[in-house]
Amino acid sequence: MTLAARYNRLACALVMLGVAAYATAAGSMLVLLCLPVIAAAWYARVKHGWMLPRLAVNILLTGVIGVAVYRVLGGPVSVDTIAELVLLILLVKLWDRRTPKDDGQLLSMAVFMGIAAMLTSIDLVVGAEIVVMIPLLAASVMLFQVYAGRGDGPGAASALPRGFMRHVRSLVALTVMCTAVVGLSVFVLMPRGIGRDRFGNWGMTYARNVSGFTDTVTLTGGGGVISQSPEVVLTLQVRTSAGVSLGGEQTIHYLRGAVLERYEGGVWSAAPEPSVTTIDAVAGNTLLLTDEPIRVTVDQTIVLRGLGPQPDYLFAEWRPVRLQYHSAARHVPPNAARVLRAGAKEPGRFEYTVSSSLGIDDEPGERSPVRPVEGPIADLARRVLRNAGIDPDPAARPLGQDMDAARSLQDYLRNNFRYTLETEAAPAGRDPVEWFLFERKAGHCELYAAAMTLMCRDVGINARLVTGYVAVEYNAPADQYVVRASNAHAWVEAELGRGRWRRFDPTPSDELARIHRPAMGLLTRLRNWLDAMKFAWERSVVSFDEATRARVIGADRDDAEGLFPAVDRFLARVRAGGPRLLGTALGAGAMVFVVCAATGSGLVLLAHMMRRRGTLARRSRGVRGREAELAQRLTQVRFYDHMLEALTKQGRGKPAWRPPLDFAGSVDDARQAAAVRSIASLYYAVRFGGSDLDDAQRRDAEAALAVIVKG
Amino acid sequence: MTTDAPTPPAAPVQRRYHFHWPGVTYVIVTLFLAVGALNSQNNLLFATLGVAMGGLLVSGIISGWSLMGLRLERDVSTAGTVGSPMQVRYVLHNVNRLMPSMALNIEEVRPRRGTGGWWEYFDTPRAFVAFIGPRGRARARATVTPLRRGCPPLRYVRVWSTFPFGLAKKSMWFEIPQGALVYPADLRLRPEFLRSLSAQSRLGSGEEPSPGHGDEFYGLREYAAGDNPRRIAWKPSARTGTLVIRQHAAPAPVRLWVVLRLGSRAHAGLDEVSIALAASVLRQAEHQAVAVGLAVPLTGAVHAPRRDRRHVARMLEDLARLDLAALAESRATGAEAFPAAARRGASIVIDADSDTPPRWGGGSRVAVKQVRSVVLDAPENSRLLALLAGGAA
Repeated sequence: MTLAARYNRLACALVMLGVAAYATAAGSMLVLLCLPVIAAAWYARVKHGWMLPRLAVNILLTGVIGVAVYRVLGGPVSVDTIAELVLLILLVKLWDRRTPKDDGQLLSMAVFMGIAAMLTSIDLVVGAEIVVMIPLLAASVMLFQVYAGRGDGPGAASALPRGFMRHVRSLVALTVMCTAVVGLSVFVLMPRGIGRDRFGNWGMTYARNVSGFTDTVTLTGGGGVISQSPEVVLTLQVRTSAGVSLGGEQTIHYLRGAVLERYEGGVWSAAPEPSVTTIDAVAGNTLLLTDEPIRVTVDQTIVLRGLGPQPDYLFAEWRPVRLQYHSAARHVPPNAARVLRAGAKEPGRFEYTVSSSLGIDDEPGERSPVRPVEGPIADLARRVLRNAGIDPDPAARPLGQDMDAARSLQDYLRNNFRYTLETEAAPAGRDPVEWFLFERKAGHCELYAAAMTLMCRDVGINARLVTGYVAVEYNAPADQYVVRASNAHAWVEAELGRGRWRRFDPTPSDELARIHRPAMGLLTRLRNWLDAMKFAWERSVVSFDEATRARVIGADRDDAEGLFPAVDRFLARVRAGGPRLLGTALGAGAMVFVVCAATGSGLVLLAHMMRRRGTLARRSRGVRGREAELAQRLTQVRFYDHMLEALTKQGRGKPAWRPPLDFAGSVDDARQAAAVRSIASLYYAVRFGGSDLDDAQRRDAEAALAVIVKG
Repeated sequence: MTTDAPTPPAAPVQRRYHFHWPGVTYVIVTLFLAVGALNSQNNLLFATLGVAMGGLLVSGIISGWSLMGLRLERDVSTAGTVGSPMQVRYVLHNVNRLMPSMALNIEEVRPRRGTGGWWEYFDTPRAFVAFIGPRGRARARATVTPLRRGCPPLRYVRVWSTFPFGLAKKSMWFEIPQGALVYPADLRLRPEFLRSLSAQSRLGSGEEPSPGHGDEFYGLREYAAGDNPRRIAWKPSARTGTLVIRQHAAPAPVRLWVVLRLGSRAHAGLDEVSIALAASVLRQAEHQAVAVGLAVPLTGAVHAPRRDRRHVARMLEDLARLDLAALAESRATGAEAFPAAARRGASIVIDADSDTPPRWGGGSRVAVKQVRSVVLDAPENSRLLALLAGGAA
């Protein structure tokens, strides 16, 4: 393959990848449709030399400038505006590749498209495309240097010097390795938080806030937490205080967010708070949320994919007792319902660890007073309890039976109603909960939870509606739960004695599992891996902030973790251990080297063998191809076989060892000798000369054959 | 050949770095990335900034490393001709054990503009080498069209590259002082002039014939033992009663003198045309296997006629090295005499000064002012004559 061909392939791939990265980042199908156009333009230029006339190119470029001016005058200039302008110029320049300078401009524009993609999105796919672009860019530019120097002269079409591509590959590998090391160093060492938005907002720098939680749930249609979006909201790791993971595919965790206590006109809302004050918390701050003694706890490390600067809900299992921020936050002191809220100081990924108490409560004291609302719901609740053998009158019912009462209501709802995600609005003027309980008898989790909350209150049990997420999708490779927007859920907390809130979920458990738990198949596993990668990407790249940086490099020497302390510890060990430790280290190093070298050599050998096999197979195919071609050609000289047969019949057969022309000289009869010579010459021309016979030669051969056959 | 022999591989004497516009653009983009990363706190941009900085570093390492092991040879042993492409050959050696060299541009270093001299008539020889493996070598040729005869002095050669990323132009300077040689222009002569040239050369065989193996009859002599019986002349033998045999004459050497009369006071360009015409006649004579000689009365240079390629090359070199400016004084005295040796043979006197009547006999005279009657009416001749007569050369 010539240099030009190799360069064109790489450059085309680079340009397409740059545009694809931007298309992915911007989520633009229109930009994605440019890819075939680019491929076609490149093909047309390389294969057929097609280009637009200068005049047409100038007209198109003028049009592009016009579009740019229109866009600039029409609104603020954004990354998208510039990227679209570059893309349009690129599309025009594709048809105007006359000199190496034009190629250089195309490569530069591909790089700009990549930068625009990064400014537009920080998604894993975009990152992967950029990572692939780097070696491609290095190889393209290296080949471009040689291609541009050679020019389009006669040398351009000649084969590459031996070893050229091997050395180019080595240099690309060296480049990628060095740039990766430098890039990683710069990535880690560059301080964060300096100069943010000094020149305005250039693009999307952090993931959007996708929790989408509000303080209200509207049952009359619309609103609520019901969502079928697969977008990941948060990831959750659950561990005991001893560090043992509590995650599992069969374990469900309820992450409560908002607590809604007021119900009015089909709308649930949180109790109003007179004022919300925030406290600045730096990364690493730990806040106690209760004065109670903390017994057994479960630690949940939660990473929200996006949290804005305004206070928003944090999520935790009941009952949060301690909160540690891993990102700088504006902390909102929890209210009586222990609802956690905070805003991020640096918008984007937000990480915190919350400890929830699993301690056994003290003996119940007294029941909180609840004012029942008389009506059909209350009648139903009482009837359910009476059917379960529980006195619905709170005054007559012992406090210890409240648990059974709540469970009875929960079971009633689970067993007598159909779960559906079809959100049908209640008829005008009808209370949605009543309509659910008495007419439709089907609904989603909000209706279930709302119904149970009201029914509990009507039988004297204080209850509240809680919205949050159920964590059911356990990702084993990452040892974490992935919580999506579709995992939003609503349930009930009932107070079984003052301050003793218990969780009840009236949604049918099998339906809950069916709706929220993902099907376990190959695709799901793949998605899990992808999610794990996305998580790792966002955790280690996208959300790398000043706190993480300080932790990694150990900017504070007193910090126990980090790079510098690790180096210090290592040096101290070397000093303390002396030559013996050094010897052990060298031995271990040698062992690692031998293992790595053996593995690497094995892989190289394997690759070489596979390549060799491929080469042999190709050669074999080539030989077979030539043989087939020869066989096809020899069909033209069947007269030679007929001649040999005729001579054999006449008892003058040609010995196998004798060449045909030599044999012709040994034929006695002059006419026959001339005929044999003529046929032999034609046979030579076809068999060894590779030429095809024309009609006149065929006629000559037939005439000569007739002479031989006649004898 | 008469030019300088190829030199042994030379080591570089100087290394230079130039930052050109792609590099400046790269730095600007890198700065833009830095500002973008700080402004947006986009970690991907931080990583890309690191990659960009790494690219700059790698570019410096690879380019410096790949050029450090270069050694250069130059070969200008093949003389050129005015108005015709001339090749300067280079051999690049890469003594580096690991690092290949790629995309190497080779060019002769011109003196600074305005210094005049040879370089005004000589394009910069440039060549390109795509790849030299570690401990390998590569050949390259630069083609230039010299516009002036003489010895262009070559001294410094610059080998530069923008590999790997085109960010900086790195160059290595090699000092290889050599002189190339450029013969006078080769004018295409008219066939009739060539025929007359041939006839002149035959007429010029003024020497006494001698017995030999030619076709011409020389004489008879008595038969001697060992003579070929086929050569016995039977009729004279019968007449004389003694065996006699025929003798043939040796082929007469075809000899031609080219006498170049310089000394045009009117226009220096005519001297150049005269020189080019003389060189063309010499070349043509060589093609026709004529023993040709050259006499330049003004310089006293005389080359007796010989049929030898190297002899012709020496005469062409003499013509190439003629320094008209240095000869101006001799020209003023007019102290030139027709070479005695040339008086005996046929000669073509190429006279640059048409005003001077022919003083020397024995040969035909070509007045340079009527040169178009001698050369073909071809575009390349017109171009060359315009170049020479214009005084450029």
